[in-house]
Amino acid sequence: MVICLSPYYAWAGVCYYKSITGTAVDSAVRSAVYRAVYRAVGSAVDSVRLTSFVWPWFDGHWMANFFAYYDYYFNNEMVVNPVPCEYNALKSSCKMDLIYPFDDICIVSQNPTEIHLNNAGFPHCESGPAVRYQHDGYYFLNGVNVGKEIVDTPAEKLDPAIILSEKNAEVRREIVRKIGIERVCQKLGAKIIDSGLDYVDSPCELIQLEVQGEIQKYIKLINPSVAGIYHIEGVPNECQTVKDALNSRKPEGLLKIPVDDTNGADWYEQGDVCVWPKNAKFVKSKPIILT
Amino acid sequence: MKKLNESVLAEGEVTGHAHRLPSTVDVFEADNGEREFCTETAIPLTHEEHGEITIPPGDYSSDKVVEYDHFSEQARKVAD
Repeated sequence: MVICLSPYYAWAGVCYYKSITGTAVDSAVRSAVYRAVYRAVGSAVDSVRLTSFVWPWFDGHWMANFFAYYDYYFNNEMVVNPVPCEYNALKSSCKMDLIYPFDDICIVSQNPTEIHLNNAGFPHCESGPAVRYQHDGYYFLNGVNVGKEIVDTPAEKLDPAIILSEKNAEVRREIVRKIGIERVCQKLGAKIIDSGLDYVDSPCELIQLEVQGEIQKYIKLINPSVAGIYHIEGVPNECQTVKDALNSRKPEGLLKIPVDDTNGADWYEQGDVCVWPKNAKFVKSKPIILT
Repeated sequence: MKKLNESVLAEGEVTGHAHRLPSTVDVFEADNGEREFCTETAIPLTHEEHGEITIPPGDYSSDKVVEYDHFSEQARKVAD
């Protein structure tokens, strides 16, 4: 058995072990296997019985809620556990972190030493890893997996320009939240081109920055699900108004459909996802519901 | 069009959150990433962070909003 200090080292160990045994391991395989196993578990639960299947890894204490679910039925004698020995063996894995069993070696990760959550129950820590292991950890702000530098660097020392190169909108939102939208705009020399209201009548602005000598336009929006928190998204420089900028955000398939605010079909926006009737001839200019 | 294993319209890369329909709804994905589904009853579209939306019966398309990347000079779907 190999005891690793964290899931990162454990996974690295698995990759190394797999590489020396001639099998490639990557996240796509893990994802595919996970979905297959999930389907097996789902059907087992539906038929109220446990079936035999082999996990390529055990999630350790991260799966404790599943055992709590089964225990409820077993302990209240609503369902008879058909395989108590195997079940208890599997349940004992909850005392550990990730476990990768092979024929002649088993790689186990140590438990995290700290887990920090925000009030909404998402991983969050502003002063270190939200999930801390003995020698490293995973950094989250409000459930968003961000880099160590973003958490560890004091807000006043974070360079606002990093939001321009950050491709992930959630990470960008957390950087803006940490630095503060006013300081971001001030430091980046933002010039307001147009002001208006977004689809839920919150104030938004079309702003222009000069980055490395070139003009770049962005729209500054309030996140509809996180009160008072702005985020910034790039828009084409052709945009002259807030309305142009909001329109430019529509997915290609939706943008192709002509707008008719009287007879057009309703559509919906949840976060960064738009949903519209497939065969709509016309759509309204803004979503009927935005959350 | 390929049928997806999960009834999900989009998944967050750094949060693990998902825009999710009931598991009874089949979701299909086109080569360009646009997803489609059909429902004969009103169904909830849920997400860990955003408010739930009730989708009326019908055939639907869905896709992510886009943003313009000034550095690569092209539009791209918003990644979250």
